[in-house]
Amino acid sequence: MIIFHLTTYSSDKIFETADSLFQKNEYELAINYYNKILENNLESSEVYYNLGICYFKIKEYRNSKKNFQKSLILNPKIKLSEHWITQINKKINEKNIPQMFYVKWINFIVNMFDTFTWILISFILILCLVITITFKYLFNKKVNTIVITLLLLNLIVFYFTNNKIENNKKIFESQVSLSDIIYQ
Amino acid sequence: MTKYLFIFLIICVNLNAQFNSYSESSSTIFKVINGKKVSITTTEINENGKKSKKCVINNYIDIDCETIDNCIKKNDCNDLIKTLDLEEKKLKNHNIKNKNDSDVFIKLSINKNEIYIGEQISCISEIYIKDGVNINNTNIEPISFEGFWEDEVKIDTKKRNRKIINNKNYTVIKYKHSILTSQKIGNLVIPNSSMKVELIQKGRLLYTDFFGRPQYENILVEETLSTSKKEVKVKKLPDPKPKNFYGTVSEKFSIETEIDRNETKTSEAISLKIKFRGKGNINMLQPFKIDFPDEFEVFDPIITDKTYVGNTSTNGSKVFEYVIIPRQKGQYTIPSISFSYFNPKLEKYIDIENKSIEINVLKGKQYVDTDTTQYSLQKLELIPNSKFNNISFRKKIYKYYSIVFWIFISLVFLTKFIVFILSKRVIDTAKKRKEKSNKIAIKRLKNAQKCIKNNDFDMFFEEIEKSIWGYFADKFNIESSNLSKENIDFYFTKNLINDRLKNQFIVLLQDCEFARYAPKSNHNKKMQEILNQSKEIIIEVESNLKKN
Repeated sequence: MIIFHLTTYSSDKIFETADSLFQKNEYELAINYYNKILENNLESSEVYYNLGICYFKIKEYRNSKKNFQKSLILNPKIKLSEHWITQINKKINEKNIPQMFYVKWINFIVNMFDTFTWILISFILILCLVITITFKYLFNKKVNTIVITLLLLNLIVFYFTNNKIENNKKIFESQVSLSDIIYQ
Repeated sequence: MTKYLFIFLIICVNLNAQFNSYSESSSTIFKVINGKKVSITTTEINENGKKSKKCVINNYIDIDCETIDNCIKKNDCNDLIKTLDLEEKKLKNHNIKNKNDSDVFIKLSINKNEIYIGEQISCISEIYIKDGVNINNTNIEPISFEGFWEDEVKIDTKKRNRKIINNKNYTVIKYKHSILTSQKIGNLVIPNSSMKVELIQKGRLLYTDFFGRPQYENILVEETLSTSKKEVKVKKLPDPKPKNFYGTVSEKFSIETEIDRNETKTSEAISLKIKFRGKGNINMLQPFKIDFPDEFEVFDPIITDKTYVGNTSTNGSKVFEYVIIPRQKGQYTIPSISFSYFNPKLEKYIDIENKSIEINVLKGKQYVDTDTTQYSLQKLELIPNSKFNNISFRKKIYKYYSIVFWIFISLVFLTKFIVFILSKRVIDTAKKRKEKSNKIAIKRLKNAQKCIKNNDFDMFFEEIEKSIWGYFADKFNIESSNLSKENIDFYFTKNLINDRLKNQFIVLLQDCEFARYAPKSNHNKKMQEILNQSKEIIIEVESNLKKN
């Protein structure tokens, strides 16, 4: 725990130095500093956002887009990231593929909360299920419909959460391919 | 007065004719021979009693003499043609000789020979017609001005001027006037321009009209007139060019800015008009970059061109109207616009500048979040950090979430299942016995029915007894050792079954006991009675229990 605090402290310092480097227009150095924070096993949506901005400045749009996406995953409330992603899409001529209405709805629901909130919701629902079942045996009441609806809800939430996690994994684990760099 | 004179003259002529006994009557026939119009005039003359005939051919080209046999002899006709042909040729020669070069000519004039690039010259094409020369038809060939931008001046071709050249009067008609803006450096050539003209010239004498005036034939002579080449030297603008020079070459130029209001709210539009007024190639002016504050969203300007083409250059004004939408509140200044133009007369660049404009932006409506345009002016800026999270923790959660979820769900259902099975087992002994009591009793009663058929007297009563006692024991969960009549009393009253039924139950049991030891005489009848009774009692007890 103490070690964790120490690393956060030093990472804060690193974050500040990266910030000052950015102000001096030394973007590549700033990127190195931000990457150091990530190497320290720490992250935040702001770090990814700033990385995205730095990459945008040195015109590495693919990297920039990836980082903006990561920042959105950690904090879906950063609307600026969305804005930059659309800007980058315009720059690299990547068109937004029009989606079917149900895909849009699903995306809308999925993007309402971040991943951790979704996980929390799914576990709370499991807890609810446990409570209703114990109620049934304690007070001998009929709660079958509630149990079934809770179960269905659980499964739906699980579907969303798992989907989101899989997408996140894809974004976090994929590297910018060589062909993308050449394309830039 | 003239009317009376006319009548008098007619009378005089008639009198004269009577005195000399001279009369003349003529008839003219129009014929088309070999595609040409020929008029043959036959004149009959009666002079002092002598009659004679005279033929005149007005149009003498290719006449077939046979067709006019009535009038003149063939040979005469041929001779006539020959002589007329000769005459014709003579006339033509005469006409050509007579034509003066300076009767009609065209002239192209320009006002400057040496200009700077972007400067304008006026180019006027005029036709000079000597008095007394008639023009029938004109065909102007278009002029191509290479290296120039051409603006045509509207001209009135009906307007005529008079000029005297070499003591001869000329009518001057301007037929083309254009303002040319030079766009290329070097010696530019305005090429020859030509014009086809049909001149009407006096031909052969046709006849004298009623009043003795000679009438001549009109001959159309086509002629091409052309102007000489003109050379214009276009010079380069002197270096160094100022920073804010956008190619405007003008003798007089001014700039004005107009703003509709100085105070506004965020996301409310202001219109800024920049008015350029002057002479020269103002029509070529394109919008240039103006340093608006970054917080302003500026749309492409609306250009209103109010230039007109004057006599020597284009004049007027051009307005760029910018629509500005401030996105953030604050005090802003639109910097002064500095503009340079080249004055060809003074041969130097002149800088002009307008005043800077102050704009006070108050806080207005908030923007809707989905509107992405609000960020278009957002600078690429970093954002401060809030809180660090552990990466490996997040990765672990991503990795194990689904497994943990399924484990939890399966655990919940496993416990539910186990609890379900356990609860089934606990209930089995007491409840199941109670539920099955009817079935066992009915089974036994069926066995009793079989006994009646077989006349098995002892077995029958045993079955009945067993069924009733068994039913009672199962229904109220009583062990077989505790079965007694007192217990029946106790359990029946406990379960609120009415006394009549209780008594019947006890009586039935007693009957069974007595019947075993009773004489065999009326067994069959008794057996059937007891069976029916026991069935009824079981049904009634069951219904009584359900009621409660």
